[in-house]
Amino acid sequence: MRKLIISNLSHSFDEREVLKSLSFAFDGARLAVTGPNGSGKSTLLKIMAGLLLPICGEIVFEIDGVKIDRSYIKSFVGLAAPDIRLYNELTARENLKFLAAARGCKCDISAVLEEVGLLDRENDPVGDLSTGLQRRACLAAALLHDPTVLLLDEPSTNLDGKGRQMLHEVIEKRSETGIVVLATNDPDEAAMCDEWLDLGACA
Amino acid sequence: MGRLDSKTKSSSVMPMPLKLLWVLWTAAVILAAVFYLPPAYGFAVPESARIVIFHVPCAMLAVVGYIISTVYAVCYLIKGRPDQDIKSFVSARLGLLFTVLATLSGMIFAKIEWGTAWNWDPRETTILMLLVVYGAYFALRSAINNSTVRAKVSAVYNILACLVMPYLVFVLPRILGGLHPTQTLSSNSGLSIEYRVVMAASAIAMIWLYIWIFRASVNRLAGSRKK
Amino acid sequence: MKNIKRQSGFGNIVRSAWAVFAKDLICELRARNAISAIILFAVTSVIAVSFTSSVWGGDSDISSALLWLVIYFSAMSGLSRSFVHEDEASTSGTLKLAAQPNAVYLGKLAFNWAIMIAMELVAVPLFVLFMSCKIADWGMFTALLIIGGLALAVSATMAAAMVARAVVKGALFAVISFPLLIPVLASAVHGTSLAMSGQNAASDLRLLVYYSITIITTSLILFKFIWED
Repeated sequence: MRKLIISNLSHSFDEREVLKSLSFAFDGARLAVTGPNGSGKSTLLKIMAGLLLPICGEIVFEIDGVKIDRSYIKSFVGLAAPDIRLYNELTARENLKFLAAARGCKCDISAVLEEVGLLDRENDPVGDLSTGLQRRACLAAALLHDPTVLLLDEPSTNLDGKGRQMLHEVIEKRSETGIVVLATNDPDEAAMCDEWLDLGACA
Repeated sequence: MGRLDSKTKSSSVMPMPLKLLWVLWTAAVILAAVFYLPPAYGFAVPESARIVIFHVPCAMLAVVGYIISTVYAVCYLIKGRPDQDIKSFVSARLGLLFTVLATLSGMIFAKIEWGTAWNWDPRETTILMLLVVYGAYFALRSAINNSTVRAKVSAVYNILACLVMPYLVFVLPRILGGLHPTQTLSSNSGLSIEYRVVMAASAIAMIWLYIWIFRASVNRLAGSRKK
Repeated sequence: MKNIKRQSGFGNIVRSAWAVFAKDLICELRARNAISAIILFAVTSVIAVSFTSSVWGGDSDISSALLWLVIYFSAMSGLSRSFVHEDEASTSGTLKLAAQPNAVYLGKLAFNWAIMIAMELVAVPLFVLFMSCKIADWGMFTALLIIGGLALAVSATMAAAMVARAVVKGALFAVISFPLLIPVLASAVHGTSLAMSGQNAASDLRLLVYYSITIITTSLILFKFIWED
């Protein structure tokens, strides 16, 4: 039993209203958030992750009848987004090691690196990796603490065929036990999901 | 409708009779300061002591303005209501206005008494630093684009500045020691009962003005925000 | 539900802060965003100060004021980097997701303090040498430099976090730090002058310690408001 309940959610940046009293209930494992650019997909994911505080309304995740406490939300959520980057000066492994230490959790870094297919480049500084490999490293950072809720913002951008294959496996695997929310405009990826939330239609 | 609203608002800032009364009251205070009060002996130029009637209430109101501003800043961080941010901002601006007035009246007094308008007396140093500190508050506000971030960051700055203010106003001048006639003013020989009465009247006029400007600015800023 | 309380608790915050500190230190050693600029600035200003005013090197009041001015301006030239760089490299989101605000504050504070001490290690011996200062109480002199560096870092860290949210950063940083630094500079200059001439400067050192504790406590309450959106 996995539930996501968005109730009366609004957010605006100064005068520009991005989300307008959005209400939505979702009962399943995979949710696709679609909509044109600027419709608030990334903002919605950031609010879900607890990075942004909405002006009003709330988002509740419920796993097996237990609500996730908003004050601990950051330990249950993994977010991979284009504007959340890793430290260029550190290698992929060092980045993950730092994030694990900052979170204070014992994580299997090698397993995560293998899952995203970065094990052979783990000792290169992230700044030297190609954009696609950097996206994989960011995905690894989101998966690191084995989050219950995985939020992916345009995850397949810059990924090659193999990368997409890896991404699909990750989504499959995580949605067995948790919730995966995808912000995407790719019809193939949206088709993988149980339900769609079209922000363009809401507005 | 919009016009009617703004009309009712502007009258609620301060009713017309009160505005007229303020003008009369202030005129009376000025006349009393110039013609009724005797020159204060104990100063090198006794006549110039009259300016104290304006200088002291200005300095006090400046501090009060900053404290009110900080109280609203704390309220904003707890409750997060935009009007609290506006009130904090307006109050800090009034604090700055009265700081400037206190500085100017102090400089006039210093020019007459000691011959120079500025001589790095510890009080002058302190008030200059207060001007810089709260000048920076407005610089910080204008440098942040997002209104929520601006409100939060400037509230934090405001609280930190208020934490240092007692040090500036009370500790630093006493450590340095100087020309400022705090001693002369607190002893009865320097400041007679007439002075105290007129100074109290002057303080009332300024508090009155403070409330007037405060309410008008808050109304104006809250109105422009809604549009 | 797994590990519900894994991020709270004082011990965890300190461990997490240590991780932030170590991360900043490694990044700094590899990229040298702040440290080389600060040290070069410090060395340049020590040279500028000493070749214009070395005649006053024997006067403890003047040389302690000049020493702290050099330290103050060097700090202002680079201490904001730690926060501003996170924003420029879009890594602040990563940090916000992984670490508690207070862990970030304490980690950055420790990092800024380390930078201050590194800068003082280079600049102060040079200053003492070039100005031919006489220092009577070396122990107190060193303690004042270390604790004064902490007090500077404490104030500058908060100011840097605020400035990172603003559009104009460089010029604003010095202005925003100024109010918090007035008591620091007053006590540090006064105390250092006493230590140079061999008088007791314990009261100034105590004031710097109390001041640092006060500002750290206040910052731990206020930091989350400037760090989080």
